[in-house]
Amino acid sequence: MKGWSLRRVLLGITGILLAVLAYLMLGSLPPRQRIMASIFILTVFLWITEIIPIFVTAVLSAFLCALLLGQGATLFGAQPLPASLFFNPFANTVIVLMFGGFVLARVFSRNYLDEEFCDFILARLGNKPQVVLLGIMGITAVMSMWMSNTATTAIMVATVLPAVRGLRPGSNLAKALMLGIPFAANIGGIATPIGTPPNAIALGLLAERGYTVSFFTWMIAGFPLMVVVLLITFGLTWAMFKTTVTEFSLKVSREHPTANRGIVYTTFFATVLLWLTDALHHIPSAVVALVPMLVFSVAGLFSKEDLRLIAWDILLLIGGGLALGAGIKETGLADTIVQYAVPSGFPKFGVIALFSFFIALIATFMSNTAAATIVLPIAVSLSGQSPMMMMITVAICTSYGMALPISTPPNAIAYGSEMIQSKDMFRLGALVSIVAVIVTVAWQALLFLVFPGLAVTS
Amino acid sequence: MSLCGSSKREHCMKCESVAMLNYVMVKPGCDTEVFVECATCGAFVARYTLTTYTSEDPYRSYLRLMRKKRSDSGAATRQAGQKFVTEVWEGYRQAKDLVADSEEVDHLEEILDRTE
Ligand SMILES: [Zn+2]
Repeated sequence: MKGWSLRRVLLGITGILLAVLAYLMLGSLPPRQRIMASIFILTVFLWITEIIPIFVTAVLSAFLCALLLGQGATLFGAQPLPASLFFNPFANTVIVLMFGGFVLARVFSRNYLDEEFCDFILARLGNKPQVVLLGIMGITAVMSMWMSNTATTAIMVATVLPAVRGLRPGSNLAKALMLGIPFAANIGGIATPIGTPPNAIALGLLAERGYTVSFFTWMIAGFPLMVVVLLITFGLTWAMFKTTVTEFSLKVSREHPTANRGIVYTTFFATVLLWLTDALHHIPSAVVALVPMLVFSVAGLFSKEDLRLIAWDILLLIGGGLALGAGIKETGLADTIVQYAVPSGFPKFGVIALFSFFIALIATFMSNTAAATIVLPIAVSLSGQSPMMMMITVAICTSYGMALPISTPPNAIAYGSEMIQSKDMFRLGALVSIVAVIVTVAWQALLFLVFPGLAVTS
Repeated sequence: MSLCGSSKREHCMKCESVAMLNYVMVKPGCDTEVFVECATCGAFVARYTLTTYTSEDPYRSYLRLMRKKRSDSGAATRQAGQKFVTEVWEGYRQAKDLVADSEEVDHLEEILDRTE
């Protein structure tokens, strides 16, 4: 990534040329939309090639929007838009919500409570391989609902790796375990709004349009679905990598320097309870999200140093993504893309299914958050008066892009252990992606048919 | 990769021995410290304060580091993992090559001062 390699320079020039070319070729569009289309194309190009870190691309796109659609717009014969349009998204309520989630996760891991939880369950799994696999996938999914998918996978792979290395090289059980962990981490993220950044992008874009999806609503849509998709993934993994091993157990005798268990768990459960009961007290989830930080800071469990170590790059990435979404909406580019891309009279349900497959496909090749940022602003414009179903479904399907080692950080971490081959990951990952999208679209359709007004509080 | 920097084997200032014993001290909330003792004569040789630790299994050490991380790019995570492991083995090889090349310096502090 570092340095000015020839490849990076050439790709950079290609990206700029593509953006300029798009501007020149889209002469029939209004000037603002032409500018926005150029920025959009450059952003997509940079996200696919990753010649600069993806959060830098997100900030660059917000910067270009503010510059070229702001005062710069007059040079292109368009009315300028206020810069605040592109900077306010960095303080979207969903950024505050994610920040709160990051603080919770940080304090958990700093006090080794994550590893303690993991070992506590592992020690009770017995020695039947299928129970151990299901248990490990279950722990991984539950942890990744609240923590980063990356950190969860790192903990689980590190825990399981010594035992897996003790198996015959290339054994099916080793493959099942080393694929089950990253896939469970990817899937676990769909269950809560803070589980993974694409969820935040969906919520942020909905918030920009005046729709609030409560934490509870998201979990009604996401949690049962997560359980079903996880069980299906377990079934597929077990079926694809049948093992002849009859006994497999993990030795978990790690000493954890755990501390502050009482206050951390109390704060965690209180926060989650407040998140889930907002229908009763009407305190927005972003406001509740600051409770852990305040409590932990006062209790001396969250220092300035901890604050510096928060993943600001991810928050900037989400903010930049929302800024890009604001630009696409405000310039009318989203409506234009929708006009050309989707034939009128195409059934709404079909559109949702189409977008869901599309996003899972592109998220296989690029960052999930970047994929969500590219697709969701268009999806939200398409869904008219009731964008909830579309947005939640498509955002969830982003997490299903997992057929390649580079699809997600959890995949990359598991692959790096050298216990699995990319063809194993592809076979199982592609199958899981397709089945999961079908199940998700069907589940969401069912949910929204039964409770049509469920998610809407505008 | 070109060789740069310096490297030397730590030795006891009392008896010149290069056989060392490490006492690793972990205290919650503090940096981990390693106290080095001469395995031949038992003299205190040095103290190191650790910022990161890599074991004989660098990938597991990488996983320990990732425990507190968030990432949003599979490609970048993959590269970082490979780079971490390669750098450990490459660094180990370089350190040994440099020891073979360099003239003996009396005290480790002398090369530490030079590189700061
Ligand atoms: Zn000695």
